[in-house]
Amino acid sequence: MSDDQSRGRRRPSREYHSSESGSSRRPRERSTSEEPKPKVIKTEPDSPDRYSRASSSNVSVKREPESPDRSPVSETNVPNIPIKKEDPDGAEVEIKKERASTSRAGGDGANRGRDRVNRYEVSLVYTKPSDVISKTGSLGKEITLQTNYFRLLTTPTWKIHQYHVSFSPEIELRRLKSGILSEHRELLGGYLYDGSKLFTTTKLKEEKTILHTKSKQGENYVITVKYVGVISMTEWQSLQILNLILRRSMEGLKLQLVGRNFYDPVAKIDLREYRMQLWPGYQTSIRQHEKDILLCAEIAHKVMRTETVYDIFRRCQENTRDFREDFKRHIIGLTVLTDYNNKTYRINDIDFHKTPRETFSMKGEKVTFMDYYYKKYNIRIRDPQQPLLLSKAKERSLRGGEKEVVILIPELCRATGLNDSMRNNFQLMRAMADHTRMNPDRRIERLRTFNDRLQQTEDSMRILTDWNMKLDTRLVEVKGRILDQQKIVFRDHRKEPSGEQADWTRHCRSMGMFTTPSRGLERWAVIATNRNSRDLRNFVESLIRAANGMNMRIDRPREVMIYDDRNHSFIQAMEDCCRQDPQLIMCLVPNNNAERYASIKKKGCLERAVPTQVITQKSASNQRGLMSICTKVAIQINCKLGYTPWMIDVPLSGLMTIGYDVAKSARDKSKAYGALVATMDLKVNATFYSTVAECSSHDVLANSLWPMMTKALRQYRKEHDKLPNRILFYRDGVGEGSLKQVYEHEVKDIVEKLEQEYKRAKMEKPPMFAYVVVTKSINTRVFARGRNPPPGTVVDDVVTLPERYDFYLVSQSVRQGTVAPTSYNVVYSNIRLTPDQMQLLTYKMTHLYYNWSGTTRVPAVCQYAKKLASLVASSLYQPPQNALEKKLYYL
Amino acid sequence: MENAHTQDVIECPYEKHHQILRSRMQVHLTRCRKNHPNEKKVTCPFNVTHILNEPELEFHVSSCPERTSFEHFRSSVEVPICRTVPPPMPQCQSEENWDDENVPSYNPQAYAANADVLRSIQGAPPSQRKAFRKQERLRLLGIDNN
Repeated sequence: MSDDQSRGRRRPSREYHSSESGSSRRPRERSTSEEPKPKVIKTEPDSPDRYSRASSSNVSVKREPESPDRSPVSETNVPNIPIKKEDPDGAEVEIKKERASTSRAGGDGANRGRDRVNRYEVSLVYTKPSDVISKTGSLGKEITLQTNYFRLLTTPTWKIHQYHVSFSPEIELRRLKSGILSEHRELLGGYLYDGSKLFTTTKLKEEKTILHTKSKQGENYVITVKYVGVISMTEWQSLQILNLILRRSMEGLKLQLVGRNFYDPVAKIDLREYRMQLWPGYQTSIRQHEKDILLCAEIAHKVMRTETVYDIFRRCQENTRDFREDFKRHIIGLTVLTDYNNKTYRINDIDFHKTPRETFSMKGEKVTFMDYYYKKYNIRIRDPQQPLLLSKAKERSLRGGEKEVVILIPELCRATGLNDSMRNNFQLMRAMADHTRMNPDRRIERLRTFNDRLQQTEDSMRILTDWNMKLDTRLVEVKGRILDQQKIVFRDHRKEPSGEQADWTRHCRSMGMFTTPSRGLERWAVIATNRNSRDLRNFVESLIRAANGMNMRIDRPREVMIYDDRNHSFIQAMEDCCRQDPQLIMCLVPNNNAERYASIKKKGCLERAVPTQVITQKSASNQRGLMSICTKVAIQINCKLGYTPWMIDVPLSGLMTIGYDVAKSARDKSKAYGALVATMDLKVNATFYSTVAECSSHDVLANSLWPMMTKALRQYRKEHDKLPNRILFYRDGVGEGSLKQVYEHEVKDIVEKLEQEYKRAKMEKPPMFAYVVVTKSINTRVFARGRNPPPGTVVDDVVTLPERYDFYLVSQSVRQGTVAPTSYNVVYSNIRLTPDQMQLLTYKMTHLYYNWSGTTRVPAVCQYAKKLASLVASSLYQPPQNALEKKLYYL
Repeated sequence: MENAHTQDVIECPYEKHHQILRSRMQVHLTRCRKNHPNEKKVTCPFNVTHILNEPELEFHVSSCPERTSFEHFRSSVEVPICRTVPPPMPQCQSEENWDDENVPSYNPQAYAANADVLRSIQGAPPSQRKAFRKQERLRLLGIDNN
């Protein structure tokens, strides 16, 4: 019976939610231990038969009178009439819709519509099954947060028919397609068309309708409209239509589509001295969230370079004698955007012998490029002398049947993205950051403006009202919680709270490190060029002092002076040092040359298994910040020796947390490296185990997770003589879209093999295991009264997704711009912890990244894995020595 | 089209007519596995995409290209290493103890199945999708199946 009742919920009732969010209506309560208690949320006295049916059940039913404050929002959707009747603006479409619904469905549909309304106004009952716990926690201090979401107040109650439209001869331009289709508006009624799919409320008589049109150019087109199916608001697909409607209404704002987002060319910001423009824009998506359908809007910026490839060509021609070579050097490898079809291409070569006057055969005819572009896109090419660009299609599009080589005209190609010289240009990056980095208050302001524009622009509003959609003007508010400050454990178990901003740099200096080598750093060597010897002595002096302050003894190192700064000299000196079996080698290098860094690291990690520390001359001679630099280096050295600067309280024993991340190889694009970092029961052993495996870069998922995990488990067993009770796996480096894939491919396999492994080890039962996917690049933002929420803020309701066990955590503290929360998705769990504990444990884990005396964005194990993977991918190019696996040599 | 790209195609272990691009194998396997639930196959311990018949496993394991990482791991003992003293293990006193926690995990599907939310279905055959959509409509409209 209770099951029956829980189904007794009416679909088009969303408009009530907004006015009473957080009221008893919402099924998910904070307390998990509560007895199942059914509630009648809303009742109407008329229609006693239905009501009696609900109340006759053997569970207690609370009856609530219709309160007047309940339905102020419902004026747009009068309960008894399913379809909105009158609206001066959208009258035409609405009437059509209504007619369609009555004429189409005959008796059945209409009856059902009425039936539905009567029936579901009556009793809305919710029962909470006793064994279902909720995913919201209760720890910490409550805080009201604003998010970058808007609520969709009314969701339309339509039934929509989907058609597939094809043209013959084929048309490329979407605008042209919809233009031609619009001549049949009378037949189709109010419709939506996205380039191939057509959604309309009218049902055409035939399954396949064939239409004929003559275009303005006098060409005859045959349009085939094929029936696909019917979509109602109860289907997932309807979200797609809502998104489509929103996009249509955004077109009314005179925004331009670049890629898949809308940008505003009118509000562009000109950075003229860099030949660049920033286009502000919006990334929007409508999705089903925890309770309601919400619109997520994020402010984005598009970097548009104003110059075309032709401009670059002219510049090369003017400046250099050998302009062809110069042009090639500038252009090859560049990604360009062609405005006429809004596509991007990568340029592989340049054909200097051909010009746009060249002909190619199209459908058996010889056409010049100039004619082609004029005919197809109505573009006149100005310079008929320019060379042509060649772009080789990607493998994927080749399989899709596209041409192997695409020929492009420089004049029509716009350079995109930032190149390296731009990225290294500090001035430019700062000028850009001034505009793109926005503080929360400014971001909120912009979101409001977006909403206002959408609601006030007539074109946009008309589309929204036509389809019976209404957007809330307020940002969605959500109750978040700030987890308590965590206590950082220093030397002799002295504990200090992490502080408001989760930064304990000061405590670090005064409290002493958690563990240090008992006899200190005895044998170590420093290598520097003769020229830097003074800086070196100075630095070592300060380092010893700083380390002493933190209770770590560092003895005087063996100094090795070399006469030049060639890589070979450094390597040779390292080799000499290694004969004396040092605990650490430090190199003072003149600049941050990547190649030298790589060869030092290769020597230390691949050939010799000695931890290395590289310092640039610039930071060693920095007099003002020397003490803080030395503190950081001392902490790093301590970690590299395998000891621990600080710890946190972990209330679980026998817990292994694992982090995994991937980085693509800088040298060989087909390769990538996955790194796995594991803790060994933080309660009794404050060390980290790490291992690296090579994988191929096209694989989104990890193929060889298990071998890596076995190694970590074996190490755990070596140290504790047993296997861990609980394993918590944080997986970074996969997008939100591939969660299901991750589960199928990685999690199932691990769970199965863990079971076997534990059986083999004669353990009575497999470990309690949870697999959490960590996502950093998400569009969700949260604000606390126009500011960034403090570190430790958790959001686990409203903006989360109903089909997932997920939460958002702001663990880092940010000084500039808006903080981006990290999303955690528990893909699999039998770890036997409450959501509260999962959140707190995750937050605790963000305190352990020793390169930074504060919290990080992701759990420390993930951050370590990322650091290790990128070290291997950018410098080492092969898995490092096993002897190092227990040390944080990659810091 | 028959050029360099075709050589990176490998055979699906479940059905040899499936010629799959190496880069798509991960995706394909999860799909194809569903169609062969009773197949007696074992996976290679070094790589999840290596799926073999049981008798072939031993040979494969001895010659698997991914064995290198394992060998690398095994050979670690032979390398001369400088050992530092293993760090002491200070017992960290904790204010809380969650060791005996025993709560079931949250099941989002169970919540979504009873909530007023749109649900999606992924990777199911058309017939199931159709049935799911129908059921969803009934569920959301609150009409009982019976």
